[in-house]
Amino acid sequence: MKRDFPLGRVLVIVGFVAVVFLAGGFGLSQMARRQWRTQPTFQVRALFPSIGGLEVGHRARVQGIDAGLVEQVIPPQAPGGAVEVVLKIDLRLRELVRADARAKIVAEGLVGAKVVEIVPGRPDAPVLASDGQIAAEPVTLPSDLFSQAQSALARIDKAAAAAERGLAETTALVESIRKGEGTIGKLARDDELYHRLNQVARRGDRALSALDDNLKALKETWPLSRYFDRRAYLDRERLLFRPNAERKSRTFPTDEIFETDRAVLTPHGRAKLDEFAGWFKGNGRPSSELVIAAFTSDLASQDHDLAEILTQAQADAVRDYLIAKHAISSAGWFRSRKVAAVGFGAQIPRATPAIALDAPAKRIEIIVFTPST
Amino acid sequence: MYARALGLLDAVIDQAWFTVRSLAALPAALARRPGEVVWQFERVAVSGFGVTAAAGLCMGAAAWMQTYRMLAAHGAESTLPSFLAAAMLVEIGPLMAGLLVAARMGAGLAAELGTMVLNEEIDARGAFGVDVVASLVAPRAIACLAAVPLLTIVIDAGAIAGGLLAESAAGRMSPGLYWSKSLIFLKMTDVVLATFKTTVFGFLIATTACWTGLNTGRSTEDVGRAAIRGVVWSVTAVFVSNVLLIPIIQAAVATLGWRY
Repeated sequence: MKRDFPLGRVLVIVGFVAVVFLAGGFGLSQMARRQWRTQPTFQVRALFPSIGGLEVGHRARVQGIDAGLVEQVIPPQAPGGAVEVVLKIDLRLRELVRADARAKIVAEGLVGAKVVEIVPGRPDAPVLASDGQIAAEPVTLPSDLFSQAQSALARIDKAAAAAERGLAETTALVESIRKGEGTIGKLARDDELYHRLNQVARRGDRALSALDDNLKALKETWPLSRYFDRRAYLDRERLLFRPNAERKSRTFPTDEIFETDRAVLTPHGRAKLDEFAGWFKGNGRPSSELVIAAFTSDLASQDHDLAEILTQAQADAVRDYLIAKHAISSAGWFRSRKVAAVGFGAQIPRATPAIALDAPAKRIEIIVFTPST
Repeated sequence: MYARALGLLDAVIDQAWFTVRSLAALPAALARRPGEVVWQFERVAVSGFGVTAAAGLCMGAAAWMQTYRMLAAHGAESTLPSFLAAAMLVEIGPLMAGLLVAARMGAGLAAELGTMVLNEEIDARGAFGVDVVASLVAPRAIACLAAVPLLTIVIDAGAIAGGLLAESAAGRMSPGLYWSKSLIFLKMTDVVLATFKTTVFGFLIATTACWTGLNTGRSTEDVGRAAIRGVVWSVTAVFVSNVLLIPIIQAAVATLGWRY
């Protein structure tokens, strides 16, 4: 069966095939370019303790510029050795990669792909030799961060336990002194007691300072810093100073809502707080935050530290009551608001507005901060 | 039920044997009947260009519109071209090209050969000692297996162009950036092998449809039924062979150690 082909039809067929091949070839050459197959490149090596899931074909960047690929991943010869990563980098960026350049592996956004980032060295260092090796920074994995946080918490626990033991011993000593025949006499008579007291004081000091250090470190560790921020353990005066928020406050004399020098709410106090909750429902916004500040006057009978403990307990009691009874810490579905409770003791915070200075010195102040933006 | 299952098994074995015979007849057909091959190729590829390009453009634009909304909700719309290109070039494009050809040629070839059976043309060829597989099936098979990869390239280009058009109309990326982002996840091995695997689709479409046509009863109704079965079976062949080919290709790539 013979068919004859008019030239026009043959040309259409040949043209079609040519166009498709051209398109395919163009696409392929672009793909090859994107993988640095056609441009001149040079090789860089880096030794990583762990490569965090990096694979051949992952991208490499020089100072953030997309500049090459991971060409090869060479496992260490023996356990404990470093993983060698061979990178293929665009030759045009050769000048940027100096002998003191550093490589690090970073995760890229949503996709979670890994990228090797090369930080160029100082300009006075020599240009890295071809196939030269650069320093590598260890990979920080989120799991590492968590284990760090965990060990910090364990240290805190230990310090807290030590502090508690010290406190218990002090109490026992004080008790025995109180029951005994006078402090001076007993201390003078009992050498051993004096020793123990000294020891306890020293150990307590050490434990507390360790605790303080640990807490400070912990507050700056990422997943926990939020917790501390929320519970407002940070600088307490800062809580009262918020230049960008509107401040509304209600003041209650402490004697009206608490039993005298205790952190137990009276029925009258509960009624007052119920009334406050009603007021807040009308005046609060979802973005409002609450600070419950408890103050006391500087009574001669009261020690500074004890005053602070008392006011803290009182502020906590108010917070607990408002949260338990009125769910004040919830700001709608799936949203919570910060409710901080702080006992200031006899301290007068610097950020106190002039009006508040006229209020009674022994007072519970509930302040509503609403961001003005 | 039992007899029917047996009949199906018989048909499958017969078709498999038919496929093997067609495969063996391919080189001879290419050497001895190049004119016929080119004529069939024009029928499959050049005439199928329009529908394929349109399908590619529409798929690219539609996929862009659906995905953009979802990704923009998470502020990740800049990754769209990369995902879109990877999905289209590696899987959807080749499969769609196979399906489009199966839809066009499955019906066309089955009805054509069915009519030849009805006209007793096949019997006449047999009487003259002309092998049906070599003279009719093999040129069509060559045309299909050459055409489907080319149409895959057309549909791939169309899909990227469709996404690019949608991006220029409603997105914020420049065409150049879109293009360069499209290439990020693509590996040449993946794309080239995905395109070339469609030769298998083309071959299976042609043999399945031809077999269906050659095994038709002698009535016009049977020819209509053959056309339907030609489409159904060749579409099925495309899907099933796709599933079978993917692990084979991946194993081959892993064995050969191709990384790009």
